Amino acid sequence: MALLEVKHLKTYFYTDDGVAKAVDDVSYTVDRKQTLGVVGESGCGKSVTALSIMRLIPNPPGKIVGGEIVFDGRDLLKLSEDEMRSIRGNKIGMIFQEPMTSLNPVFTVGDQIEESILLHQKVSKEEAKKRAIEMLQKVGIPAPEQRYGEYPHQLSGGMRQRVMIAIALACNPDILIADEPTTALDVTVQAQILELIASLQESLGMGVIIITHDLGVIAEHADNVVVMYASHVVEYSTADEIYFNPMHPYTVGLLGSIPKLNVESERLMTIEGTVPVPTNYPVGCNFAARCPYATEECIAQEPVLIEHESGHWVACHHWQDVKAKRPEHLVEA
Amino acid sequence: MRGIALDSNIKVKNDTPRSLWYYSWKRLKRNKLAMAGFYVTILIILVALFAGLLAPADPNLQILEYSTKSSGFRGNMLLRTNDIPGQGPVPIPIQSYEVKGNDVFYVSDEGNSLHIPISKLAGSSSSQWHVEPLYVLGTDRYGRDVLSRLIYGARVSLTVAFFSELLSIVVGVFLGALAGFYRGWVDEVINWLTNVFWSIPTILLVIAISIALGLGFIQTVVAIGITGWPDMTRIVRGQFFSLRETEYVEATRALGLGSLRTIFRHVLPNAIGPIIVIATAGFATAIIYEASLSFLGLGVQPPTSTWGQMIYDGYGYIAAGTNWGLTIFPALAIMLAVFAFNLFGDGLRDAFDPKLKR
Amino acid sequence: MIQFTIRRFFYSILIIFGVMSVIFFVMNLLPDPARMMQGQRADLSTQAAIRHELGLDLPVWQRYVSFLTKTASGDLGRSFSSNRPVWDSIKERLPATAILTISAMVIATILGIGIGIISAVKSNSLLDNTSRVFALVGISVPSFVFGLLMIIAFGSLLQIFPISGYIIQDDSKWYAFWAYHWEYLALPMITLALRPISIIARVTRSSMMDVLTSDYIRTAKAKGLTTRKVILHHALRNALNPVVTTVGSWLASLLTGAFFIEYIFNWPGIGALGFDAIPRSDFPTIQGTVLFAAVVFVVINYVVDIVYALLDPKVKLSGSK
Repeated sequence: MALLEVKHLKTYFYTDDGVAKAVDDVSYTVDRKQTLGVVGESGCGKSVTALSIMRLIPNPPGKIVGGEIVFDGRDLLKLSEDEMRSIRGNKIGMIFQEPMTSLNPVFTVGDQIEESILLHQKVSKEEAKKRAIEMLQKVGIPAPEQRYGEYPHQLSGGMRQRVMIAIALACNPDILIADEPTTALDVTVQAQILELIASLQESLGMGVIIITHDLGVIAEHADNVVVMYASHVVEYSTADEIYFNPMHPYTVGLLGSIPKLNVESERLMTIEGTVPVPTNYPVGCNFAARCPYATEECIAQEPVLIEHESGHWVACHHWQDVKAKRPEHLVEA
Repeated sequence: MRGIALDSNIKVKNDTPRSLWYYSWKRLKRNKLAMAGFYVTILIILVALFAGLLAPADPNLQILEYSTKSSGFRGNMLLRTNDIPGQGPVPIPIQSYEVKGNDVFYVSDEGNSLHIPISKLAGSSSSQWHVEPLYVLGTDRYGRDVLSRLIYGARVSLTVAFFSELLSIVVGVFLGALAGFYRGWVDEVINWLTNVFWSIPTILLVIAISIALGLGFIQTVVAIGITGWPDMTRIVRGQFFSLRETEYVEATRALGLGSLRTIFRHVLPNAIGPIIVIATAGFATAIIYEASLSFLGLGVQPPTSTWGQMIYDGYGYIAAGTNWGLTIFPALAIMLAVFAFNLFGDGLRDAFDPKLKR
Repeated sequence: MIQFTIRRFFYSILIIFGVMSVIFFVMNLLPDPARMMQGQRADLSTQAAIRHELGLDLPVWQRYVSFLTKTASGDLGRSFSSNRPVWDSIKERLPATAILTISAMVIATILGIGIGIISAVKSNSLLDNTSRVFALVGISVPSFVFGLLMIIAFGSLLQIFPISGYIIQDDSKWYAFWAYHWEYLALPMITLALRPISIIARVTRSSMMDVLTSDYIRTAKAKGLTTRKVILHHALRNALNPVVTTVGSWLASLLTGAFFIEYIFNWPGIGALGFDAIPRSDFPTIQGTVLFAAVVFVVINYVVDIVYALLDPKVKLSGSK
């Protein structure tokens, strides 16, 4: 049994315009020393899934209405708020998309790391300080003793994201959830942050969930990949399978929109059409309106996520067609 | 790194694009309290506009016999033709009357038996020269109808507030636009001036100016208007600072359009939301200032009825512990007017505030 | 930080200079004070003598310079009606006003911030909606109207509190007042505090609402902190900045509010001094009290700016660089 299992999670938002099914029957698992990539465009429910794991969905309007989140043998959704607090920041750490605004501007960097340590571990103030400085060093911040006493606005975006990682990892959690950790950063810094997460994972042995809208980001680091579209998981397999043997037309589209250095003067593929609104999903496949393979069947009936090949789950009526007609450049391996 | 933001490649779901006004109005309509404020505001404006039709009596007609009657008092009077041509009939409060031949014999309010020729009474039938008016909110010290005075008082309150706020808007938008558009020393000077005016307690400045200018309608408007602009200047200046950076302003500059043209054609329309919000709040404040001034006897002068003046007149009775109505009714009128405006203004602010779209 | 303090200090001086100029200008629009002092009966030679005594026969710029230098040295002129130096009257009235405004501000700050936080945390609950409507009523009622309503309700109808002011005994220290005569304070204090309570509650609420949706609050929650700790430790510190400014500017302008309230409650402070001077056309007193209120406003705002800078690490640093 995996360390963290999300099973048939449903998180809905009750808005003025109706019920928005932000996460609708989403399942995935992640284990120690494993990296799971969750991919999809904004609004597909990937971040809401992560916040549901932390049970940080703002209520109202949000509510987890179904499913289980089993962590270390316990369903997180059944824990009391007190029990859940002892897991947040302690067993499961989380970092966010916006390093610029995710740190409290009125406290020093050291205070903010220390707070987490003092909260979850019975250590003295001096010990906590020592560990905070240690963490700063671990996340690759030069002159950690000096940075310890500085305020967030004195640090660059990349540095702040490192501090966020230090906070998330301060209590040596079993799971690190990184919600678009590099989106707001410069391209060169992005690579450094991803490298850092990977090397820390190696030394600390935690499981990592990286949420991104960019398949390229997780190409090198993810073991498994979940592709989400309009609140559903549409494809789920190992990273290699997803990259070289995609079976969902949406995944193919995503792969087509990654620029490649070795393919000259080729236009990036775009996916035509618009995402349906979460308050008003169609009866059939959510992707049908944009899908080149769509047929009557797709509009009438919603495809189910099925393990069509060993370890490769797809929710598409026409997965075989997709596989057959796959664009040339994807089969380069 | 191989990645590029995917989102930019995918068209996002979008309804038919509509103006900011459409969405603001939609948000405003959902806000029940704000709409209540809006309707009450409209009601008060209508009352002020049609005061002549709505007021049951002449607000300045003194009937000393009916001094400080309580709410619901019913008068009983004969109406005599006025000796001065062009003036309304003169009321004669009575206890009872009877017609004998060409004379009307009546017992006056004090209990004296008197008579008057029918020819001297106003109108041709008893239904015209004998009336029993109802004083819904009672009468004041001079026997004037409180309800009618309240209704006419709304007219003073709103006109003073309207014109003084207009003055504030003109001065405030002008200075704010100058500061925001030209920046540099122009901005420094205007900002300093704003801070200076902001530092002088507004109501004291209003009082000082209205003492200096003398008393009356125009003076009150000027005194209130000339002190109300700093808020407006600040908001307009701030709007300009943020709008000036936007592409369309840059674009108009690149096209070589004149500065003033840019201000009026391109920047001001975009700042109109915050201006309306501040103006609504300013309007409410102006009503308070007008009431405060007339409470001090510095506003629009008697016999014109104003709410502040009515409160001041009623104030004398409070210590004696009688006739609270004379204070409470105009007090409620002021509170209702200002509250309605503030409710509406608050709703407007929420409606225009894009942050609430989240 | 020191540089920031000094720079703001000189800017405050510049503002006070502006305030003095505006007040001088407004007061120079006045109808001839010499005539007003003497009424209609005064003969022309007496008027001329008074004009000369007051320096009104000098050119405007000379009067302006002399007004500036005199005021800067603390000479606010003499009252037209009592012939006492205005500054002496203000000093004498200061304790009463201080008692009233400080009490009102303490109450307003505590209640305002408290109501604001509860309102933000329980946003859109019945409690929140009620307090929001009350806050809006609070800013919609002119202070003199509310004062009169308080007098009617508590003084005349219920007869709980005395409805008029006190007299400072020469033998008692003024701060002893809180202990012995608080019942005199109750009504004027609540009346004066109503508006600032409402405004502080509104500012605290909206500031708190903003902060509560910010990313760093999510970070704090993700650490596993209790809601209480997230709100009181992480959110409040950040939400407080605009509140400090509001509290400051209200403390500064409470003098204005006191103007009406002292009159209505017969409270022997600076406000009542200025108010009583209006029907007497005692311009030096009116001018003196307005100027005093404005200077207090500027000074308090200066202090608030410094406190603000101390609270916000960004301002602190940019000031020292």
